[in-house]
Amino acid sequence: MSNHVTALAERIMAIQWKGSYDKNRSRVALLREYLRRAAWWADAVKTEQYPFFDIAEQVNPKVRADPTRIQRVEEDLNSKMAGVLVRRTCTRALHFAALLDAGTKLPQVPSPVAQPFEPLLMMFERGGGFRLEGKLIEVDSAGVPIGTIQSNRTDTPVVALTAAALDALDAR
Amino acid sequence: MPDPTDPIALSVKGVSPGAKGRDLQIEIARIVGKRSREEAAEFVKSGKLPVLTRAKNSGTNSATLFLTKQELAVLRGTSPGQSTGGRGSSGSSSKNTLSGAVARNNSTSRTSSTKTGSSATVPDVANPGLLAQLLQSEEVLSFGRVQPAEGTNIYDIPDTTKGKKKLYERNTRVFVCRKLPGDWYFVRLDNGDYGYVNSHRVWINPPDPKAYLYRIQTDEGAQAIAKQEFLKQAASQSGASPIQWGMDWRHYVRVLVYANQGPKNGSGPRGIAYANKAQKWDETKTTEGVDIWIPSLEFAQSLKGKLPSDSVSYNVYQAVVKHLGTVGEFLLGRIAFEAGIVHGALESLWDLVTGLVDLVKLVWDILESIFTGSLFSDLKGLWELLTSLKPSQLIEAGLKSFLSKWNHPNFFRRWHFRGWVVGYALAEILMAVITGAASLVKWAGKAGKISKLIAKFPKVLKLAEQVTEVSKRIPDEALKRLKKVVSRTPDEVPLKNRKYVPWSGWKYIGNADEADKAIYAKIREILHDGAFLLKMNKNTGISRRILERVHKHLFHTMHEVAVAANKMEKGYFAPDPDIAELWTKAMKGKMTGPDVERFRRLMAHEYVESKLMEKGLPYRSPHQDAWDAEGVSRFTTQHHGAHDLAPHVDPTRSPLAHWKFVLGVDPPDFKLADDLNNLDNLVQDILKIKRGWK
Repeated sequence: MSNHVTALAERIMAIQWKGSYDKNRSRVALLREYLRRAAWWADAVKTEQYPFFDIAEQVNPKVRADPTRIQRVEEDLNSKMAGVLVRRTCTRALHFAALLDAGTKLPQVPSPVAQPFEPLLMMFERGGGFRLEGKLIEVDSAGVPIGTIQSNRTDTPVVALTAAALDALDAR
Repeated sequence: MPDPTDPIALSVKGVSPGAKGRDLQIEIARIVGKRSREEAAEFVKSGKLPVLTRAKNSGTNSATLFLTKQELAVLRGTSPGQSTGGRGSSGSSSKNTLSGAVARNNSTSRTSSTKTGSSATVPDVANPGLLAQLLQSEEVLSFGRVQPAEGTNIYDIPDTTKGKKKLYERNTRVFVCRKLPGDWYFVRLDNGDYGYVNSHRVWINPPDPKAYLYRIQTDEGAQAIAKQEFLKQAASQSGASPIQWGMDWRHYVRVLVYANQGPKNGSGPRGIAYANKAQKWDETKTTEGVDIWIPSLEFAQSLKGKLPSDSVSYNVYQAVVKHLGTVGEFLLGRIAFEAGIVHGALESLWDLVTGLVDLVKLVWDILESIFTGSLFSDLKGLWELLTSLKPSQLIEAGLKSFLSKWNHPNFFRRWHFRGWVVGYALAEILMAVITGAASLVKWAGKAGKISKLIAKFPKVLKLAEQVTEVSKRIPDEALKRLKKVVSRTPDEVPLKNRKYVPWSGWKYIGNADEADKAIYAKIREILHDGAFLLKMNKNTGISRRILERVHKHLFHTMHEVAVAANKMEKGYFAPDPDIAELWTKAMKGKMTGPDVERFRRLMAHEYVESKLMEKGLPYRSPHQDAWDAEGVSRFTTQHHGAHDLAPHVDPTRSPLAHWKFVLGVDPPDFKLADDLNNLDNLVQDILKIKRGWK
């Protein structure tokens, strides 16, 4: 019934938020991949609230993850000193997972971008959150330009979501 | 009833284009007073009208002069009550005589206490750095008095070596608009002049706007002072004795004590105070050679029955203002209102044509002459109109978000803000009219909410007509450039950049969540409420000094920020959801354990960042070597900004660990104090290490 939400909640609560700076290259690449995927989704659900928005709410606002579970995850994140944006994106990822559990028909997007939150979750798992800083997003201490839906809606993935590809970036 | 001391812009046609000095004065006296040349020369020689020396030849057979209605009557040779007709009818165009004319100088000599000096000062719009500094500086909004016995110089720029100065005698009243770094106040005087004055030479926060300074003489007791000063005031007014039932000299002594218990000026002792806790009026202590405030007689009398149990509080002051009624309110508040209008107009102009100094100056010269000439001469009408606006009308116009500032409990803040709104909107409307971007009505139809509201006033339509006339004198080339700039307004400017509603999310660098913008707007509104800093200090343990600085840095300072290689943008920091959340919790005292540490790290970062920016570091470096091939900002020892070197905000990491990883150098050996009071040492350490990188 709610396998996606349950699994994602456990995954989020297992993240080690205390990161270091040595995975910055891969974390920047993962964020940029999220920006690419989010651009496709923003286009699909016709929103201008790019790059951080509640995809599930745009698709079907009636399908939401269990509030008790959301609250538990938020409390866990808060106790680990995660920032507001991190909490918001994790919550939105849970709502998106609820769409999958409910079998909601999703807008059509290319299959490589079908999982919008995956790069962001992997970025968190490689050592910490991020912060909004005007026209940039700060990852560790690097400032990643947000760009626009148009500039990010490209066909080519920024990076393959495999440990090997990501480690290779950090080894440069 | 028109105020005879209201300033008027007089435009005199028919003068010789080259006439200046005494010749110009004689021509004006001849034309306006319908005198023969000999009579006019005699009139000028008599020195009856010193303001004549300020006349300017505008060329093309016309001259301008700012003067009061009383002075105009002298010039015309009529009594002040005779405005037209007979000998007094002006030789200049009757249509233009009292209307706005282009002029730089807004002196009116209305209540000048000037001794000597250069021409009047106005905000220097031709100095972009100074104007930007002024617009971003701290608001003070208090009356004050020149304190030193020898008077003080007021300068046209905040620089004692380069500025033109004008000496003002002790006790000259000023309205302190803003405080700038380097101990400068930006002030407006009762005669309409503006200028900069050393903040140590002006006492502010008087018990009432008419209060003045008095220096206590040898062996002079409180009762002697009270008798001398209040009798003097009574004699200059109705002549009635200040002593009435319930108000004997004991009352006036207590008034003096309480009037001098407010915020302290200077570092010395208070000049007057009760000798002990018993608070006996006849045991009042005075200190020779120290200044004290002498409040106005009406203020003293308004305290009847309120002393000694009540303190001289804001409520008492409000009660006084209430007694004075609408007319009294206007007399007291007009200076704040005027200052607000000028400030709002300047800010509007600055926002519209940022960086185009010559254009700013050109348009300001026109606007200023119209404001000081036509608008200010009938300011009371505008004041009454704003007073009559009901909250429902503001809400209907979509202006709910600034109702609290519009109706601010502090009288001066309230009227300064209303003036600011009017000035801002007027400047926008007038700019559009000058450049022919649209007819006034058409433009106002598309304009922001406040401009729409303001544009409904008949006075604004009249002003627009004057501006249209004056704008014909603007050179074609300048007009073209202006049109290009103004054509962005109003509906082509993205919603997020709209500036018509103050503090509601304009000019941010980057986008932000609407909810976070609303929180930022709320945080901004409490700028003038010092109590919130005290509360935050109590809730977080972080000193008010740090909180205050960070508050200004985050919410009230416009920054120039690199957003890409070689690309800078100017604006306010876009609302950050973490800051919005933590600042709100800190104000409300609702912080949990993790929040406290997150907030502490945030404050450390922002404080150090602001200090480093003050030392000249950019926020981030715009240099291309600080941006990689993907456009990601990555700082180096050669190219970095204050944001990069400041302690990192992530509470799960060591504050300066990024130094080693990104720069490959050891960070300062430093431990943040719990209350963050050692941050200035960290700034010094950072600068010291940084010097070694050159």
